[in-house]
Amino acid sequence: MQQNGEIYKSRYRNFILISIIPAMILYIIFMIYPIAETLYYSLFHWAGFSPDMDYVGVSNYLELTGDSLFITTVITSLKYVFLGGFIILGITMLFTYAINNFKSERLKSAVQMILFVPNTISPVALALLWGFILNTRWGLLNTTLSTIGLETLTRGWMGDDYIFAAALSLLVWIHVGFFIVIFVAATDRIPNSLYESAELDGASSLDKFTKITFPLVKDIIEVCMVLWTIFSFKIFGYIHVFGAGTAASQAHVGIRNISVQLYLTAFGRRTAINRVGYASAMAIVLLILLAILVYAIKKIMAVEPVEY
Amino acid sequence: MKFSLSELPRYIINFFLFLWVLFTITMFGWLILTSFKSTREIYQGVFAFPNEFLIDNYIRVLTDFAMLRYMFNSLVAVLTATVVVLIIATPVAYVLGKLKFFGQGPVSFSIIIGLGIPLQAIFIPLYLMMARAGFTDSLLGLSWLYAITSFPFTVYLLIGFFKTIPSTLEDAARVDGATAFQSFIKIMVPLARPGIISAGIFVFVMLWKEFLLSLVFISESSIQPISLGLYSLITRLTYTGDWGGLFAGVVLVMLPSIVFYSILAKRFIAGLTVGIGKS
Repeated sequence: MQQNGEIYKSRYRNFILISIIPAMILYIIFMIYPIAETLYYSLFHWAGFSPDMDYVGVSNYLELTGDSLFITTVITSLKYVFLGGFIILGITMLFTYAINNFKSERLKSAVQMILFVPNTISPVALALLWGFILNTRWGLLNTTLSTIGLETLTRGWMGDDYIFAAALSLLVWIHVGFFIVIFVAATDRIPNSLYESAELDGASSLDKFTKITFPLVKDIIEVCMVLWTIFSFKIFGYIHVFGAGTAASQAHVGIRNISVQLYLTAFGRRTAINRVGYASAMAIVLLILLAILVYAIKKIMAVEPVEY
Repeated sequence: MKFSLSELPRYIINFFLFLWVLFTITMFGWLILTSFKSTREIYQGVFAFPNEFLIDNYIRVLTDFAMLRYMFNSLVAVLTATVVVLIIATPVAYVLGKLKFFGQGPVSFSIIIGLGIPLQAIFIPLYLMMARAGFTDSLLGLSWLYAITSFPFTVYLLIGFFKTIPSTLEDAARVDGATAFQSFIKIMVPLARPGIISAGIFVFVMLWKEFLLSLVFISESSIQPISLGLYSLITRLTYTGDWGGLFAGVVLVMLPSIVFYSILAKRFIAGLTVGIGKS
């Protein structure tokens, strides 16, 4: 198709204008412009809907640096990103290696589909389910442990000492199923001929995985690292609801990430918005941290897209 | 297959993968089984099969606790949003995937950025905007937010599908004198239909489980969607120690997702991995 010809231009111009412009205007109004507004609000002391809007410069940000609760949530967020990412992507790669060696295509897709199921379910339901499993009195975990004679291992899983591990295990269980689907799709595109010639040379399945598969999916690993970073900063429902039924009405401090803390600051009390400026500053910090991490991943990985 | 030592790591991983799958299945099974028990039975022993299958939990949660109402609210909001976002996103994806135009770079870039924007970075201004316009505590307002926040991802999915459609038929239509609009509606949309359906299913399932937007924008109980409805049940049911009811509530929230997903799982996964698989 001669894409720059005059006929082409006149033929498509109106269609392009009509389909792109209204959609992009709405998109910018509702998703892009609000980022700028958030940045603007973060420079004010403001309770929302009130005319008292005091410009305070960066004082909200300065207050954040001294807010020990906020600092704790930043650290917790980073723990989710790094510790969670390491565990999730590690398990995903091991499982991908196993799934790739399944002879039956049906088994291969059945396993993926079962593991993906938690990703389709309401975070509120999953957080409750995890609470049921870890319930100290009648939860599945503690009862299983006592039944098989390991009573010494039973714990109050929702208590201070274990709550972070409990929440992290929920996130791992959910997201391994997500990333496996991505990884298996990525490894499926590798031509079989590469494996066949390696087999002739007597390579084991592990050799094939580390020497052929792994280098060829490096670009997808980078994508998954970026995706997980974004996911873990966004995670809200699982953490907000987790434990709500057993202990406190608000998410336990030990598992709160920036995103939950931000919600609690802005909308936590059921009245009007309380500290719009301060919560907006948190949102900007969240965005900046996210941007830095994504940039760092891109720099460190620095992979070229793989061509076949 | 012959056993060889170099394959040992694989057998070990297979074993753990098997445990993982078993765990996932067992857990959903346990959940469903327990939802038929009375709260007293739950305290007595979690493994025991229910003495009799009590549907009291379900009846109580569906009627007294308005779970049916919440499901209906979700259905209305999510269906509306899915249709709206497909109508807006399909032409955009077609133009971005198949045509070239001035300003394409910035448009594509802004959509990629949109994939990564956390709701938390925009929900304060959005809340103020919607409240001023009177669209908080409104299913219509919520549907609109569902649609617009799904826009970047839907466009991204659909671009992948449009790219796989060859341009030859469209070229033929052009030679026959069809306008751009005609060839889009009569040729591209029917050809992309499997892709549009996959994207629609994906958006539907993802919005059905949505929680944060409804938590922020809906406070009135009668119009809460299902995740929020379940959330508001927690306090009421744990206060009275009605664990049986809560189990039934969780099953009711999960069931539509699981049923819908298992019927369409192949398409669902195809939608997710478009752009990664073999081309």
